[in-house]
Amino acid sequence: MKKKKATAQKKRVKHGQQRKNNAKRAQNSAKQQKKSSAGKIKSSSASQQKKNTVQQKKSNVEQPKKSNAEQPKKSNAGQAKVSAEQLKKSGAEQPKKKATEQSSKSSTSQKHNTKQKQKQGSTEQRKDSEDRKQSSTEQRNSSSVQTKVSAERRRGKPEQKKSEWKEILYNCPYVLGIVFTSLIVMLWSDEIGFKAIAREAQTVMVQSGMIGDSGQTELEKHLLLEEDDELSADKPESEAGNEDVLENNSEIDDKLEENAGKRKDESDDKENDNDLQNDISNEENIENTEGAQGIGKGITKFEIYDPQEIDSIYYSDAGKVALTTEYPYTKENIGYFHDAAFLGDSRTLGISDYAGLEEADFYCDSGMMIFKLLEEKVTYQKTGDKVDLNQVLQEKQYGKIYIMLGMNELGYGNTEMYLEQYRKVLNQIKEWQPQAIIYVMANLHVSREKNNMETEFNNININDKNAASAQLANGTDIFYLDVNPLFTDSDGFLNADLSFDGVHLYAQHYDVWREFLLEHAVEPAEVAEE
Amino acid sequence: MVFSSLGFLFRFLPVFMLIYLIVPAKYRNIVLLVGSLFFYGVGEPYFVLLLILSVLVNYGLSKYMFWEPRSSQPDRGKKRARRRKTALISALVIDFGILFVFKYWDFTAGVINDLANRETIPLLMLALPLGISFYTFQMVSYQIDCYRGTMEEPAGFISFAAYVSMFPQLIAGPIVRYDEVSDRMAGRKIRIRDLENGLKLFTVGLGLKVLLANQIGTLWNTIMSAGAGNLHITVAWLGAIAYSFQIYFDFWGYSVMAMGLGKMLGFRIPRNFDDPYVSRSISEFWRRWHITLGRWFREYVYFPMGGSRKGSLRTVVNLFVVWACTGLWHGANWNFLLWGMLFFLILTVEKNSYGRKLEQSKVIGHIYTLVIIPITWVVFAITDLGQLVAYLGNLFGIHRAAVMVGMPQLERYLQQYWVLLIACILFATPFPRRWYQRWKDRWFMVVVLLLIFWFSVREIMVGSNNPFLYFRF
Repeated sequence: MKKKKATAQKKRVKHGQQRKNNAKRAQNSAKQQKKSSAGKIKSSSASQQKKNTVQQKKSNVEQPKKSNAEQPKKSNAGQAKVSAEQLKKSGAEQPKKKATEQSSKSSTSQKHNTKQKQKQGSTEQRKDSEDRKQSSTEQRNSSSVQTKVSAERRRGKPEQKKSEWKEILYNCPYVLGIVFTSLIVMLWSDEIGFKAIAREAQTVMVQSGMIGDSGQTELEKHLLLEEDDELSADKPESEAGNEDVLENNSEIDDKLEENAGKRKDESDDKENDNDLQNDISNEENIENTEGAQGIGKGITKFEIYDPQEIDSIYYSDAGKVALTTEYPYTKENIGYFHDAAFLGDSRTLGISDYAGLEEADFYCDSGMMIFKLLEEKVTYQKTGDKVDLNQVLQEKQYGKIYIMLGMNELGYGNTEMYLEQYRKVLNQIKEWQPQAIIYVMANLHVSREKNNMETEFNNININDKNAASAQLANGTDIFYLDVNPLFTDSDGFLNADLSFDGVHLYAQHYDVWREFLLEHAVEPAEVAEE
Repeated sequence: MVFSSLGFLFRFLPVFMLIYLIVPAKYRNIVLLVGSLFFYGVGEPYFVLLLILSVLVNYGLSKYMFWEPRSSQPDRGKKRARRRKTALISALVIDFGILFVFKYWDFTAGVINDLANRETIPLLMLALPLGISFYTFQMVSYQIDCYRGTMEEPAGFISFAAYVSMFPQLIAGPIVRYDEVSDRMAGRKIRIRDLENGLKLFTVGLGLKVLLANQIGTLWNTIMSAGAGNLHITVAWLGAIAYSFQIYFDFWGYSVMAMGLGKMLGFRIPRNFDDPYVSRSISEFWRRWHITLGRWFREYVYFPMGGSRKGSLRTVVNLFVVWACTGLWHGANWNFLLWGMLFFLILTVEKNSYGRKLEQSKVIGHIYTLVIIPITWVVFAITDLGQLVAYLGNLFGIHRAAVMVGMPQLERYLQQYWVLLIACILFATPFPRRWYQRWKDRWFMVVVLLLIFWFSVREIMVGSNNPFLYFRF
């Protein structure tokens, strides 16, 4: 029964839409309809009018209570319309029962259905309103009905507000999702979260001198202190660095001791030498990490310069440039690489692709990091398979191992962590490959265009990393090779003609790199003899 | 500031939106203006002054155009016409003058110096202000509309300034006409649905930019890093295709983000792309690619010059001018001019011969477009003419140097990028947009978009610098 009625109504709706072809406009004229319905009421008999008002009251009271939050704001207007429709129907001498049935139906029915009815109601109303325009002058008499309706409206208001809020929640789940997840992430994340905001605010405030008693003298004192720091920073830092190196050297030496023995005393002597050398070298603007001048022992020197103040969590200005380990290298031919392994990132991939080192093994991936080298699988370029370096280096013995990593570390951790990890990796490799000579290759600088002092992607940072890794070169089985002078201009920027992106060399320039490596070869035999 | 930066996503946008939603409706334009200037000023602390100056001058001139002296004189109409003309011409001279000095001075000076074989004109070496091509074009469109009388009354100062500097479209378009935003400028209601849909749209754009364009861009970069001229024909084509995807998703993503932000602010920013890569001819491609720029040149250059109504010779001349300008608009370099000329040639030929047939065909038109477009993008991408010639040679299997990037590399690239390539192909078709339209209100879409958003954020965090390709034009 109900269904039938619903379909009938739908049909009527269609009909109405066809006629007016604009249901929306009809809805907009709700006010008009109310008026006209009032007019209608007048035209029907007085007794019926009374009953109708009661009915209307009922339905209006029922609906706000029963209608759940899903019902949009419009529903109130819709209710008015629906009740108006009832009025009309009863005005057209429809049995009372049916009208009440309908009202109860409309209040309990789904949102969708109500909407339909609203439409229907409004379209039909429009018809009626047009029919009975002439009776609008008699409106006043029915004002009692109107006031009642508006009273009902007022009463329904608080609940409506609630539903409005629920409607907002219902209508923007995505906005809420983003806001909610963002809040969580910002509470948790160091990089984008509230901690970072606090940090940024603090630096801004310090810079603008808002923190502390901002008297001039105070500020001057602050500046003076900073300068002092800078002045004193030079020496202790480099000394500390040397200590690190020595520590490490003895660490590696300890391990060598097991193999070759009788190194301990020597290295102790070297430590003393080293300190002396440092004092001298500082004066000469040249600094040695490994001071021993023995035959077959390489020296890694540093060029000292005035470091810049860097405000970054990732790096600082090392104040020194590492130079290729000084050593009487021999010049070899391409066969030298038959037992060589290359470990590195996308730029080592470039060597693999374009330098023509067919015999060497390449373990590298774009985005490889020193932190990932032994933790994650690496692509073995000869087969394209992902392999575990831990396994490979334990199974296969190499004569030479070339490492170049550091570019992807520019914005990760900091230089101390980088050095620590580099040392860990080298110790590990030495353990597995006691016979191998390890070449620590300097990371190639970037071009002037790519150099960005506002981010951490710049040559000072690269240099910081290079200087750190160069400290690990001991001149006996670990050598530091700096290929940069071949490809950079006088300011240390990668020549723009040599690269598309300012980071990677064009394929044809890897030949130069290969020749450099061949000219800087260490005879494994020499090391073994020692 | 770029949209795909943590600073924008987690600092600027939330704070701005909060203020924007809280303030009473009548102050929203001011908030929008101040916010936009801040947005611009963070990245360009000095050029923001240039922007403000341009806005002030243009506003003054547009006001002058509508200005009426009190006393009614007999030749009022004539004087008014002259006044309007003066205002328009000075606006054009100033706007294009600034653009010329910053964008084209060095290029022109270089050409003249080369011709004279000595340094006659000094180079200025000025940095290009962010988005200057876009906001200049918007101001010019406004002035011309004022002159033509399509605008009944001049915009208020705040409205005009907010229109020019509105941050969603300030730095990389779309190029909006004033009448498209004027009614919303006067008063707009921000509805919850708009906020929701706007943010969804923004996320889609962010995903296109960060998850597709940036990623496929590394393939193009890898190939170009090996060097144009060393490439096997297959690798050369793979690179061209990768770049075609990169520039499309980059720019489309940006436009979608602008649309989304516009929606969140209560505006309707016009669409800039309509699935250009499924076109059947190059003419159709340009009706679907960067629509607002094409519209600008059509309305303010091509039609005023007579369009195609003044005989075929004149049409060709008009097309030539339009395409030379379009090319140079994208950058002050020979390759951009060449790029524009390439389109001029193709479009002229298409217009006069096989164009219509292509657009009726089902398959040939698509193949034709998909072959030509990557070649044009290569011309667009490589600013060094020597390298450009070498790359174009590689595309046709002509090599002057030894091939260093061949099958082994191709295999590796495909192994690494095949998923991404398929995703790019899919998103270059109209289907994903249709799916989005159909499902955007479903609950699972909320989850999908949240995933896209946070994956994008993660990518942004990992890769620290990703400037938009389209920024410096």
